[in-house]
Amino acid sequence: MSQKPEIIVIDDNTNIYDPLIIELGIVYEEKNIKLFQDSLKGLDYILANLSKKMIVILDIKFTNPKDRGDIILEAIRKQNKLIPVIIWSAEETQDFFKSLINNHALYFVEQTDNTEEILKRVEGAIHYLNVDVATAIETWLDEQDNKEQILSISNGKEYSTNDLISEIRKQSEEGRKIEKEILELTIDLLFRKKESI
Amino acid sequence: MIQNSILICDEQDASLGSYFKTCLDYAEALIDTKDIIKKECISSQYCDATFLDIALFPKHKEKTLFVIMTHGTINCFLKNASIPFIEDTINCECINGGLVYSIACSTGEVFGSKIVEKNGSFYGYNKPVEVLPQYQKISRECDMWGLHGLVAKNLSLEEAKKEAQEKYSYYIDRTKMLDAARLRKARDSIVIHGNTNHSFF
Repeated sequence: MSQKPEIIVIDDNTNIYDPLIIELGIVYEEKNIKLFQDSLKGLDYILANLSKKMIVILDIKFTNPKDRGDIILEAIRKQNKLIPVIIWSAEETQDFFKSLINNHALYFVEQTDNTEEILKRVEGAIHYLNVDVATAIETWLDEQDNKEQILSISNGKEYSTNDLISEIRKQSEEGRKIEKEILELTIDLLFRKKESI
Repeated sequence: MIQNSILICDEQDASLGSYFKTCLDYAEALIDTKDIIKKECISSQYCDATFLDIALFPKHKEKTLFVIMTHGTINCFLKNASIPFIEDTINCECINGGLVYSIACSTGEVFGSKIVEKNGSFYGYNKPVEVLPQYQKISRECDMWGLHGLVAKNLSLEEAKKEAQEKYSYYIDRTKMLDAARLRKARDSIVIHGNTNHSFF
């Protein structure tokens, strides 16, 4: 990845002087670290910046139970299944884990884990972003000039660049189909020893 | 040797009608290079099972090349992507020793293999394939290259398939990622059934 992703930290018990925030700022540049103590504001930021490469570190427990992190995760996933989310919590109920797994949380780190441990997970999340095919396709589509241009006609439906970006992010049937086709193309090019097209 | 042809085109299809028409024009021009092949064109209006089975097909007694430019599914050809007008097989003695050339999605999976039971042969796709919205000329050339090989160069189905796949590979290596992925899928979906080792014209 040519530029560092943004790290979105959503936790009402963390402030800008927290060792984790300071350490993240050193490794990934301060300007890329966004801290939200209000989970809904964090969600709004994420949904307004879906085209940015980002990793989310999300606490689960907030003052208002309706703003719980697992609910925020579910809301993120309705729009984008590709953003890596690291859950940072002390909760341990079975229903809670079921929700996290079903909404594809990437890692779980405990509140008692040290900064070094959390940074390792952030590094893992960045690697995931770098190698994930769907993310690569999303990036390529996002770089196209004309977002309204029809790029695909599938099952009688027309898809513009913007439509395809949305399908990829939501990992819809069409989005997963594109991902599969790109993977198959890549394998074909490798077998035919074509380095670039 | 096949000396008769029926070209079926759903030019009024809402999404791909104009594309099917360009394929029809290509097919007609190709067949016209062989003076001995008679030709009958069927438009959208006549893409109807009853018409075809009762009025059209019985007129044709000799082995026939069918070129079908419509939508399809695994077992039938569809008018306007929704109404089957040829289903399971072609009920006509003219399929005996004849050939169905299809650019429809998926017809190669079941329809194509069943046509062999009537001593017919088939060239087409066994998966859903897509026309490139920005490069329809490339799609047309690739869709019709097999027919070019069969009619203009008198190739067998095996040879025509190989040439068509090479044509696809040529464009896969020269188009953008998404288009290349679609072409790759279509290339690898080409199937042939029946008499694959002898020419038809």
